[in-house]
Amino acid sequence: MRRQAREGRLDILKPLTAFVGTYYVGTERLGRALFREENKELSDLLRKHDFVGASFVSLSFALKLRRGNRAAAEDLRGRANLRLVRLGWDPRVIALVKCLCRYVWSEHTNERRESATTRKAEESYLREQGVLAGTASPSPEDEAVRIQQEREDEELNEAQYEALRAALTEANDEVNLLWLEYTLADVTDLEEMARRSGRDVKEFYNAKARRNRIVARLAPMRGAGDGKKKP
Amino acid sequence: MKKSELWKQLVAEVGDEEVERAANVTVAEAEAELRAAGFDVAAERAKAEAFLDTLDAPPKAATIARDAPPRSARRERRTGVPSTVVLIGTAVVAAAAGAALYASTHEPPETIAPAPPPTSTTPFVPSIPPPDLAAAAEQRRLAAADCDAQQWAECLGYLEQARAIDPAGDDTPAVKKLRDKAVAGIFRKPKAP
Repeated sequence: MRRQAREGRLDILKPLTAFVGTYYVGTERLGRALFREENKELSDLLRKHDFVGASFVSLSFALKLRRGNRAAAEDLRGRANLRLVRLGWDPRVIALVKCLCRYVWSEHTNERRESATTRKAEESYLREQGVLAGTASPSPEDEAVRIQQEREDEELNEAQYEALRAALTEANDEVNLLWLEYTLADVTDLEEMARRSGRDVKEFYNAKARRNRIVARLAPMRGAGDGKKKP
Repeated sequence: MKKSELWKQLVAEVGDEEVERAANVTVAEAEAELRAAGFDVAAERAKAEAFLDTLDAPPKAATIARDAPPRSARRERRTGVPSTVVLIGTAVVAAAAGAALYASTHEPPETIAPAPPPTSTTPFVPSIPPPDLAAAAEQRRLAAADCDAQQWAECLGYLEQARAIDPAGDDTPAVKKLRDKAVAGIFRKPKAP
């Protein structure tokens, strides 16, 4: 009896079909493998949107992110393709090539979960479409796992922030260090930052490219050496 | 804003820019880049086609026939069958299969008495295939290892997978104890550094 109730809760927010119009919801949200007809429908949709061509572009992107390492790039592209099957794709919202590149980036930065905001928005959409079953709350076990993952994510993200700060300090990049401090204090207007620091606002505009280069370099470190098995 | 949130925001911003730039590359340009990097473009095309072909004709285990009973229904049928009985049944079937294999591959010795007639021509199909129980046991072994290593989320993940395969085994005291320990571990306040 207890198990039945628990399993019932695990079935929350699951779409009943793999496709809502042309929106492929993904096996993760679906909570099951695809039916044969759905597999065929997905492959037809991907062919229609030149999956092969998009795959070349995503592989080229993966090669750039993996700094020319061919095996690593192929592995990244392969994982991005699987992410597409798991997490879905809406052709009305994003082009296939862009979606694949986005999944390549996500795999590259080792994002474990979609953001809560994205997920909430998509679930609202699915609910409106009438494809979600049940409204019960998740089980205590699921909640516990979610809390643990969020805690780990926060620790990792904070460590990455500190790594960025250390890199900027080493590069003697005072403007970007100021930018970090102001942003943490919820001052996001560059004019205001310039006024408070007594610097030219152009310095803050120019700092962005330098900052982004370091972020791009540090982003994949999050998963580096993370050989932990994932259930 | 928290430091962790700021980092996430920065990664998202950089990601948007990188993805935008990457997606604007034409297929011809991408092919040329890959060729220059030493890729066999024809082989890559074949790999992409193969991915689509896999979707078209997936292996049997990776797909579900629409008329197949849902997993929950199969699970319900299994519920209530004591695991010991299942194991004994499985052992009997395995022994019978082994005997049949032996008989089919060895010359029978000369017999004095006439051979007994076959008892039944209907093959016996066990209610649960043995690999399922083995897989569930393996998942629970991994869960116990992760629990020992205080990897609580991983431990629970393996337990969930095991339960999906073998719901009856989830009610054993050992499994319950593991689950309680993992849940308690997750909710325990982390030690101050």
